[in-house]
Amino acid sequence: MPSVFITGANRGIGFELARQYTADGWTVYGGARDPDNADELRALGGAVFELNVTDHDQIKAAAHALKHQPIDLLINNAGMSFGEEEQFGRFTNAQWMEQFQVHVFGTLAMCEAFVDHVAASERKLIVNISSGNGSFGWDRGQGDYPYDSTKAALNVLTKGLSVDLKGRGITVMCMTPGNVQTDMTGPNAMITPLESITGMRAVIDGLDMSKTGTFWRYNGEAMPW
Amino acid sequence: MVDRTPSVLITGANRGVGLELVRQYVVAGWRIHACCRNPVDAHDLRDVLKGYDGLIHSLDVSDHQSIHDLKDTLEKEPIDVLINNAGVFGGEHQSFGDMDYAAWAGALETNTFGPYRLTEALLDNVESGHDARIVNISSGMGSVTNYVRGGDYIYRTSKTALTMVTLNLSYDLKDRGIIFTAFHPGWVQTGMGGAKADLTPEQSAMALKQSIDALTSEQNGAYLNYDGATIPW
Repeated sequence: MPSVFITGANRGIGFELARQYTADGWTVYGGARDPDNADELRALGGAVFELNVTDHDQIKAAAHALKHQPIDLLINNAGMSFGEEEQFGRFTNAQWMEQFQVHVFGTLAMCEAFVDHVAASERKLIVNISSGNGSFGWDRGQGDYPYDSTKAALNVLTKGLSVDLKGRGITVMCMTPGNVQTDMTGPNAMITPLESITGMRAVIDGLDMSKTGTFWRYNGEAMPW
Repeated sequence: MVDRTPSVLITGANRGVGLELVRQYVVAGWRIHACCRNPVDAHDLRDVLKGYDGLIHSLDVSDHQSIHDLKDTLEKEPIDVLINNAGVFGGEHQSFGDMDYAAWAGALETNTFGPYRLTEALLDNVESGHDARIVNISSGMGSVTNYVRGGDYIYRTSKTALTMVTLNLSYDLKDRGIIFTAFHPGWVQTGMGGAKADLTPEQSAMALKQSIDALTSEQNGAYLNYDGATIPW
């Protein structure tokens, strides 16, 4: 069966990805900052790794523990938000940098550590969870400066990775899960995790090298940069 | 028109495109606030400003206190055009499997956080300016659409993020009467661009000033080439 590694797998979108891929028979590896507080993820039965993506030693340790295990799909999902503190004049450089470390540095460090696992697999896919907030061409509202700028940076990084990993046969793309009801967005969001992840899995199932370096919504619509 | 000399504040003014921008605005008769990290060593800048209405300020845009000190020095003086030009490339280690993450953080402090923080600090000065503009010198290398070569992750992500910050500012502050834009200065023969680049710093700065002069409120939030053409995101 194919295998997937998901960061931030203990709740929200990450957990629903882990749940659905487990139900579909995949081997699921989940990263969580605090595995002791990831009971639902553990109950799925897959391996759980202590993984804060800002800690590159933890990333390397997880990659080493899975050495020689092919990973068909790496999903860089771990993300964060400071909510209304991200508005103009309200956030610190330390908060901004933390978002870069999670959304951008963490994603690249995961790709560097797991590139051999993915290259050794059947499907060779990397999916970065981005956001409409990171899209210049999508409808924009009030700025959430750290979140918006780090997701835009994640998108340009994804485009670069798609070029640099093409020679190894790896397809890299980014995807927005939509406005999903999670701890980050709250209960007023538009769609359920079930709907978002069911859609994302369908998009991921249809991925091949012809779609590398592109940006998609969970429902299969193309996103503008 | 106002009955005073128009004023421009330029960061990274000691060399490259920044220095040539100073020269362009001097020729046009503007009052200049030229900022750089080490004014003592800025011999070329002093030569350009000699005999003209220009002040040299010490400014490290990655340093909160330095920005605060500049704000204190300027008091309530109106700034008509703020050009966030100071930038770094981020070093040699910015490709897949060869990343310098500490250098990445440092480049973000200068290229991305710096322009935002200076904008935040000097917003009142610019708001009281005439035909006010805040110009962020981004880069075409931050265009996601045009990124087909790979590598240069530090520089590109810092510039894409700066362009997004510019777009956010244009939206959030649209009632302040300021035009925000992100510009690509071209590939310029500077310490960063190298000797084989397309443009001299003078050519880049001359075109930039013309394009900045010609900006309209419809271009608030735009991502523009040095010649004024729109760049795809």
